[in-house]
Amino acid sequence: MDFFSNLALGFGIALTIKNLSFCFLGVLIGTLIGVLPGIGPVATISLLLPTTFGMEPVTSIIMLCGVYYGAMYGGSTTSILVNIPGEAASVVTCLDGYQMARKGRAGPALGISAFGSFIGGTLSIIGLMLLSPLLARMALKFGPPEFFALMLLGLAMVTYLCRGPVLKGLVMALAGLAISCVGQDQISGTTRFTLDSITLMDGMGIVPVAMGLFGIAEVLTNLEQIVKQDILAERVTGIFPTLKDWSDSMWPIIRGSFIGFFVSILPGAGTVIPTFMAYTVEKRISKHPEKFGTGAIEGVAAPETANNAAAAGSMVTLLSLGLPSSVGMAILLGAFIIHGIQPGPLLIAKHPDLFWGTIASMYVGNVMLLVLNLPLIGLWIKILKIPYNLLFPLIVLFCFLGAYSLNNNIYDVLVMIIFGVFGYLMRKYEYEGAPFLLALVLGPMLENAFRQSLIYGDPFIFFNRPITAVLICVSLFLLISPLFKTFSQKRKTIEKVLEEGE
Amino acid sequence: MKLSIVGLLTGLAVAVFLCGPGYAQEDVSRFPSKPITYIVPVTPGTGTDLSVRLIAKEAEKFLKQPIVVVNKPGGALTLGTAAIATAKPDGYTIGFSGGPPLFLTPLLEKVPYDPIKDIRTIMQYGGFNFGVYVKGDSPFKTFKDLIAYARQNPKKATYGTVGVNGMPNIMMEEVAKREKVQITHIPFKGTSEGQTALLGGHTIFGAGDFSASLVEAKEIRLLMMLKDEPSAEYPGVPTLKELYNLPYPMSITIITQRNVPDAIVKKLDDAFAKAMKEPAFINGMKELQLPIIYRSGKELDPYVLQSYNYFSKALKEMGAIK
Amino acid sequence: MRRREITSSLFWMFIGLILTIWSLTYPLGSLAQPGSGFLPLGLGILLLIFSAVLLMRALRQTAPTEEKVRMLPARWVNLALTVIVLVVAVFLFEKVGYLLIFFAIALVLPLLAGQITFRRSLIFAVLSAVGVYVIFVWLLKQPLPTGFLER
Repeated sequence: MDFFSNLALGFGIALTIKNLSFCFLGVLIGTLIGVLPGIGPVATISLLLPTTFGMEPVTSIIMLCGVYYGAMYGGSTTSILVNIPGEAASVVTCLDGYQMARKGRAGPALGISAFGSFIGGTLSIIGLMLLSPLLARMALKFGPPEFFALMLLGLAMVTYLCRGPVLKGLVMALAGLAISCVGQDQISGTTRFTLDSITLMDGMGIVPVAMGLFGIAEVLTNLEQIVKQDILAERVTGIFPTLKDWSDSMWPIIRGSFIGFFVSILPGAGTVIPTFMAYTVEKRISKHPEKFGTGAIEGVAAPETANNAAAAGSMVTLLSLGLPSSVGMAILLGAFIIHGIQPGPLLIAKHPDLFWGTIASMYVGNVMLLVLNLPLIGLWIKILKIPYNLLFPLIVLFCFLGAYSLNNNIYDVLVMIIFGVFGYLMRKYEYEGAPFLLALVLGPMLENAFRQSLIYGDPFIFFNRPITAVLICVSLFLLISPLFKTFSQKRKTIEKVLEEGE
Repeated sequence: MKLSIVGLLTGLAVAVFLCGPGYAQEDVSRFPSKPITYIVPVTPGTGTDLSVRLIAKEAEKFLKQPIVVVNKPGGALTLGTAAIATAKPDGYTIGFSGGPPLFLTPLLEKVPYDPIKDIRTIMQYGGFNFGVYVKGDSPFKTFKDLIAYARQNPKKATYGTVGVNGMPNIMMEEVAKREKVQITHIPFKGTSEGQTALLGGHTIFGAGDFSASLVEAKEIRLLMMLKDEPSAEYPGVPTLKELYNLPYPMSITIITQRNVPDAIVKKLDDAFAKAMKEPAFINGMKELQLPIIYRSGKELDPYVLQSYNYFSKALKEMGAIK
Repeated sequence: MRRREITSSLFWMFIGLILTIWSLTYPLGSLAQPGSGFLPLGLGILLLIFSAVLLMRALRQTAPTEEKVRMLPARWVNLALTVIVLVVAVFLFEKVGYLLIFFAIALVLPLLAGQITFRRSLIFAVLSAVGVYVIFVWLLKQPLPTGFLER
């Protein structure tokens, strides 16, 4: 009963005219910056923060949270339309989303990601509300060895990300891991592979690399073959997902919500890893895995749901322990603090109005986002009608600006261009970008956890702990099994099917 | 058609180089006549970034020009610091410094600036509350308890900081050397990762920045403050200075290019000093749990030099540099 | 097909070799306390092994479908020019300022793609530069370098 009275209190706060309008403003700005690559919620919230000094704390927090989860809605748009991941969390969406757009199904792809985001967002708020303190304590059980095992499992997902030969995917993953070593190593402070560049001291940024590998490489590939006026403006069939789309993506959306929420609670997992996991799981259990990567709607629904669920999931440790699990959360923590509110174990007891008000506003905000985003789909699809010789300079400009705005550092743009060329060449030679990027994201965490674990002084630390041992065995199995399969008959038939499919 | 593009571009390029550096020396009394850029070498949203935004907002009133806060994170704070050090010495580019990029990182890494020759300090407006802390239910009540445990269990006392050769790491190793104990350092990527590991029981203690809400909720307990003066926010907790007479030079300062004229530095110093007295700034710093401390640039420049020399000696003894 | 596979596996072998040698310049550490060269060395060796397997598979392939692979695509000049324009833009960006650079990019790139008149591309370039100003500088207050147009 207590719970319902709290929720009533929350809605009482969230549904005032003032809070509703600021919630709307927040999600609107969030959607906008989600669409623009490079400018993420982090920069925007810190930009908006000074303007909220005069507001009531709860109003300000409602708005800033709106920016944060609103950005997750917008992020898929550019991935689907032009193959530019607006942020790392929508890299996976490129794989099938962009293929759908090329087949004239950009509408359903955008539609399913809006609905998926809504469902994922709403389900995970329920989780956040009911399970926060309990889950936060459980997440603490994850020490360095458990983390290493989790990252290894993440890496094993590579074998499901590639369409072509697994060996090529593994080579790309190794290259990604190697690139992730660039910069100051966080364990011993040694600077590696930087050629004395201080831009590289913090390593290769994931977003510039992703924009290069997907966006710029795509542009270069298309540029080579422009003969007709347009590449993308195939007849656009339907704006909304069909009934079949719905039945195909219902379970992926539900699974995506759970994966997104629970994985993102683990400190450091952020919103990127859950999207890769959701995609992998769908491909693994799908009856027709060969369709993934050629425009399967499940491949859009699952990761897009997962990243919205993860947006709420990553708030669990912030709200119940005061510990931000990602950069995005750190900035939100700053916002709380500047308004005189310390998120942490005492938050719910000390500021019930703020806690429940914010939670209630998130339900409202998700409804707003859905209403806001559905009509926008029609507008986005029009973008594809722009002739390619004008669309591609716009894509390049957006990538340029986005890469620069990340850190106000022009060398990030250079990194993007270099990886654009690299990505283009890799396509020519039939290597895929996704395993590379996944490895780049996982690399630093994998290495840190590995070396931190060994500092404890026991080389068998990975097998002494139950969680770790299980995770490692599963990932080793996943990594090794396809290597043997390559020589078997089964693999050949799959490749045959693939060739016929193309 | 192509030729005309090439022509256009060349024309542009020539134009750029012709009207490049043709600035006349500005009249100091009219300073500032355009917006000031305030470079912050950390990511937006961190405590220090917020403190910059607080003081910049107040100082605008006294300088009568907008202050544009630009985050340039990267390279362990040296990227932003380098941008300040190589800016035009006209006082329109200032920046935040916490200490390490001035006297620690330049000793360990190759950086494109000389912290003594390229940078001068305008003023200091704040400090940090860093500390040594254990989990709330830990049996260690004082720092002495912790050292006693470390003495009986060599290498078993694990501690987390934000990185090898960071200030907390250097200072803890210095303390361990004096106490003749062996402790095991486990570096983490950030303050929150380190605290998460502490709460999960994966480390015995932590050193460096911490979350004030966890102290308030008794989830973590402070054993020692890593600073020079006792902390008003945490009375009764001894400082590193009291226990071991070791310096801990961390402060929030505003720096600029070395060759900015004295008169301009004076103007900026006065404006920021006035901003420090504004209630909005004072309240904001209180919420951020950051102490307000004023020192003028005159006091601070020798302080930087002194710290630089101290750390170059300490790092040599640790064997981190030659 | 086959030549392409051989070239790419040789490329990776080369990268693996560089990685292996380069990581030997960093402290290797021990299994109890791995240093910063530990993981890169492992990666380098694995990369060498994998690329060797790829090479072997490519060599063993009896290639009946040896299609003609044109190493240089038909429009490689335009491609190369696009990349060059971008790299030049990067190096001039902070000196010249965002407005002129974006104007120049938006002017030149459509011409490189072809099938567009100079006038249309000029209009497009003006619109893009103004658009960037309105959205990014005026609305979103992004601190972009103004270059020599600075007041």
